[in-house]
Amino acid sequence: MNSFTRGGSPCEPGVVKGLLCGLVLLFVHQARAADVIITSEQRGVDVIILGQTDFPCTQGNPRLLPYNPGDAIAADLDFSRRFRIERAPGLTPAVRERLAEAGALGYVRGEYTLVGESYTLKAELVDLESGEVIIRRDYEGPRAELRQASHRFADELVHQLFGERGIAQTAIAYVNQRAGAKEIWMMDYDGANARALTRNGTINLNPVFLGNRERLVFSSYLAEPPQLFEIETAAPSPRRVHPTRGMTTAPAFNPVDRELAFASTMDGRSELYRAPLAGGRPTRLTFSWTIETSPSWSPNGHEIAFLSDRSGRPMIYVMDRDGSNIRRITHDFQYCGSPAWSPRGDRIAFAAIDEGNNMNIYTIGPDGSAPVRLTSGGSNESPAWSPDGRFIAFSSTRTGTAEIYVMRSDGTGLRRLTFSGGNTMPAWSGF
Amino acid sequence: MNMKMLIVAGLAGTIFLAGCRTAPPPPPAPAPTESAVDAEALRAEEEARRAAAEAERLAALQQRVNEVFVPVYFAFDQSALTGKATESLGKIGALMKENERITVVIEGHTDERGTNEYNLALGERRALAVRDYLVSYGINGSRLSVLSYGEEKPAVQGSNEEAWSKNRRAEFRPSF
Repeated sequence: MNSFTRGGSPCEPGVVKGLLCGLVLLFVHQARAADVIITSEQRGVDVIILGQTDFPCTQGNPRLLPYNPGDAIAADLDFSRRFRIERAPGLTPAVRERLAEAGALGYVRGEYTLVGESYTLKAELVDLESGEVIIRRDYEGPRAELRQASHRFADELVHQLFGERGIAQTAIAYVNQRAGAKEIWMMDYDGANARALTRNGTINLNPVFLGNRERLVFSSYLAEPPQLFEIETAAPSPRRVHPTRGMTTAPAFNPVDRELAFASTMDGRSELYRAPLAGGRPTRLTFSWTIETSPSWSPNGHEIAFLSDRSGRPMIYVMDRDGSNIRRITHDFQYCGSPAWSPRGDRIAFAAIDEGNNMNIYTIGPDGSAPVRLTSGGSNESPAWSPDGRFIAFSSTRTGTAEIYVMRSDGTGLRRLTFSGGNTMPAWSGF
Repeated sequence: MNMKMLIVAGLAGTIFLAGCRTAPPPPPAPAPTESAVDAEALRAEEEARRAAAEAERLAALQQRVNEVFVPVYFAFDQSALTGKATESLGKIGALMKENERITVVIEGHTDERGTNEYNLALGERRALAVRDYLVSYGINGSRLSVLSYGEEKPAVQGSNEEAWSKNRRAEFRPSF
C-alpha cells in the first residue's frame, strides 16, 4: 500500500475524503507516532511536502521555449501555498533520503518533447517509499499550450490531494496606462503571457470576468458618457451591454443568476442597478441622493456589498439583492471603497484610508466584525479574490509606480506580478 | 372699380408682365466684358470682406470663450462651489446668454485619492453642481452636458496637495 491510498484502492479524481484520510494514514506511516495523527486531524492538512526532479526534454530542442514545464509546475505548486517543493535533479538514494527526512510524501517527475509545432508532456506523482505511480497525466497539443498543460497538472495535484480546485489555469485582467490611454490587459494568474485586450486609445476601466477567463465586461469611454462593454478574451471586439442614459460604471457579475450589478447616473446621481447579462430593463436598487457605487455580489447572489457616502463619508454597506435591508459594515475609517466579497462568503475585502492617510487593503466580516489590515506601504487599491478565496490581487504604488500584486487572504506571501508601471484594477477570473 | 379690384388688376398685370418677361428665349451669353469682370471682382471682394469680418467676430468670441471658460476648483471630497467658482461661472453664464449658440460639455475631475469608482461619481457630482448653477443663472439645460472623468485625467501629475488641488476641478469643452 502506498502513502496516498486508503485500503489499497488507487486514487481517483474527486475522492476527496479518501485522500485526506489517506494523508492521515500517511502521517502514521511516515512519523510512526500517534500524536502526529491527532495533530493532523485537528489542524487539517495545510501543506504537503513533495520532492520534484527535473523534467528533461527527451526529443526536440528545449531552447524553443523560454521555460521548462517542470519549473512551471513547481512554481504553480509553490504559488498555491499548499505544497512545499524540494527540488533535485534526479532521484538518487541520497536524494530519496533527504526528501524523506524533509517529510516528503512523494515526488513529482516528468518529461516532455518538442517536435515540430507540437509538444507532449508526461507528468507523474510518485510515492517516495514504494516508487508506485499515484497520478499520471499525459498531455499533447500545439507548442504554445505547453505552459497551460503544466498549469493543468498542477491543478490536478491540488484537486487530487486537497479535494479543491486549483487556480493555476485562471487569469487576471487589469488596466494598463500608457500615454494617456488606459487599456484592458490580461495575464495568466502568475503574471505570464501579459497581453492587451483593447487598443482603442481611450479610457477603459473596471474589468470583470463573466465566470471563467473567456469573457469580460468593462466600462469604457468608447461611449461618452462611459458605458459597459463586453468582450471575448480570445477575439476582443467590444460589444455594448445595457446602454443607458448617463454614465455606467463599476460592473459586478453574479454567476448564480447571470446578472450584472452596476452604478449608473441614468436617474441623476450615481445609483446602483442590476440587470440580466443577456439584456433587459435594469432594476434600480438604491434611492439615495448620495453616491452609491462599487457593487460586489455575495457568492450565493443573495446580497450585494457596495460603497455609499450617505453617512457623509464613503463607507461599505450590505443590502439584499432587491435593495432592501441596507446595513453599514465599516465605521472606524476615514474613507472606504472597492468592496469585494470573498468566494467563500465569510469575508469582504475593501480598500480604506486609515489614520496613516494611505489607502490599504482590509478584510471584514459581512456583519462588520473583525476588520483586519493586510497591506502597508504606498497606496493599495482594488482588491480582487482568487476564485478559491485563498488569495487577493490588488494594485499598489509601494515601489513608486502602480503594479499588480497577489497576497494570501491573510496578507502574507506577497508576490509582485507586473513590472511595467501604470497597472491597476485587477480582476481575477473564475475557474 | 373699387380699390380692391384695382389692386387685384394691378397684381394680374404684374403677373402677366412677369410672364411676358420670361417668355422670350434667353439671349446668347455675352462675352465677358470689362464691366462684368469688375462686378465679379467686387462681389468677391465683398464676400472676402464679409468672411474676414465673420472670422474676426469668431476669433474675438473664441478669445472671450478662452478667457471665460476656465476651470473651477473644489475642496477635497467636495462638490460645493466656492465663491471664486461662482464668480467664474457668472462670467460663463453671461457669455452664454450673450451667445445663444454656445453649448458646453462640463467635465468633472477629482484628485487621485480615494477609489476610481467613487471618484467617477464625485466627478459627476462636481459637473452637475456646475450645471445646476448655470441652469439657475438662466442657461437652458439642453446647452449643458456633463461628463465625469473621475481621477482618470489629471491636469497635473504628482501625489502632493499642490497637484491634488489643481486636479479637483471642473473643465469646460465649449463649442459654438
